[in-house]
Amino acid sequence: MDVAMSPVQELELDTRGRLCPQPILDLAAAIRTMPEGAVIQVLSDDAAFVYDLPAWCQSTGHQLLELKSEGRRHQARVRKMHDRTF
Amino acid sequence: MKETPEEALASLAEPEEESSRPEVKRRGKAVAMISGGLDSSLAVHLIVEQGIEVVAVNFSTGFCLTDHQRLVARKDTDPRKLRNQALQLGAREHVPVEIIDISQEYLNVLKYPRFGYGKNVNPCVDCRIMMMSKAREFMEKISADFVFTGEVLGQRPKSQHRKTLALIEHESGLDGRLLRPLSARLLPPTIPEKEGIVDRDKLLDFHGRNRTPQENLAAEWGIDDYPQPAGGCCYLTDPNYAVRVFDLFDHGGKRDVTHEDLLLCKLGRHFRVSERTKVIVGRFEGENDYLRNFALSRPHLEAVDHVGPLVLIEGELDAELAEKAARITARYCDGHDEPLVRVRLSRAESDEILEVKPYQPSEIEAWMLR
Repeated sequence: MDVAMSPVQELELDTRGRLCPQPILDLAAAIRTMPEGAVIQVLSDDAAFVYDLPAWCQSTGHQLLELKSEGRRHQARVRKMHDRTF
Repeated sequence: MKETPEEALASLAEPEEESSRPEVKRRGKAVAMISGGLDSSLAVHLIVEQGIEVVAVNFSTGFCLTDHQRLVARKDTDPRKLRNQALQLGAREHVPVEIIDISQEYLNVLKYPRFGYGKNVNPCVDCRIMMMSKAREFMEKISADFVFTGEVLGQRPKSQHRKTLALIEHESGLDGRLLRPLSARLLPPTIPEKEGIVDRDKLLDFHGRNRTPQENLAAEWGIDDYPQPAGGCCYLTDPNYAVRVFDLFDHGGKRDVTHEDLLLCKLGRHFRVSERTKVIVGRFEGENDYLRNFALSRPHLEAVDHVGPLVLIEGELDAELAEKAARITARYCDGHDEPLVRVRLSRAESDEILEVKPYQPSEIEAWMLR
């Protein structure tokens, strides 16, 4: 997992090479470090990511801004909302 | 603990007498332990419908069948079949799902279960105790009132007897705060029921191995997106896998067994060709592709002139064992009917071509771990 800041200060998370549940575990951990309203970009090549990420966002309440795929390369942007777990 | 399945079913007593049922008086908060299967789907729905705030936990042990299917999936596999069912359940019920990775700690549970194994290499009682202890910690962390599961009394021979359910509850430190909504009316009232957080009258009295009542209820509630067969999602209950893991414990030294060793036990055909050596043969494209990740650090073989599997060698290797491994490789390639097949043996330091006679199935039968 690689984490970096983009020029527009969006956190970037590269989970390529990692399979479920790791991409979601990585995303959940990263998003906990962010303030509400901040956006994270996520890369994944896990085939089921296109199903898992929207489901995770729907269950946790975080906002899925974008999800696009080229073959098995998936790129998403997620806005952190209020953490409903705690 | 010594209850047989028949005794367990026979022991299903009438629900205990309740002198008075408290009124439901406040909205509570609960931790759901979910797999995403039929039973946990129903349990979550039941509790959410009572107006209770639910946060779900899903434990990743490293032995989930779906996770393994992802590892070896063919490129054209429908990704819908590889979805994480716990996340789907969370989305359906608008319940946040916390995935907790317990795979490292789980290794010790698998190697040294206090309460032993089930029919295969499944340490179900220890597994439940560990998960429920973690769920209790999470309950305390998020200030929830109780933990609940989709367990059904008498459904599983090892871990869902009445006595075992009580044992697991006690050992995990959840005394009175562990609710099994699908069988609750056959079990003593829990603290959240007594406190009026949960309405016991709306809980169920399912028991036994028959899943028809659950399937009917799911249909009634419009829940149709759950894996089939429900509940059978753990690799450790697979008989073939158990044979390989116990062979590993016997030959590799249980203490030194790693996650990688256990992962390899899920892949390919395994042949114990000597006390210190095992041969692993990929069975299909996805497995061969995944086994290639392990080939860099191990001697491995492939047929030179025919389509065939990737074959790994685990353990010691000498000329006699190399020939055995090459003949096994030849047996599973497309040239298995040829008198001689050329096989490349690759090691870190060098490659070598061996020309060997493919084994007949009867010659390797006794080595196969299954």
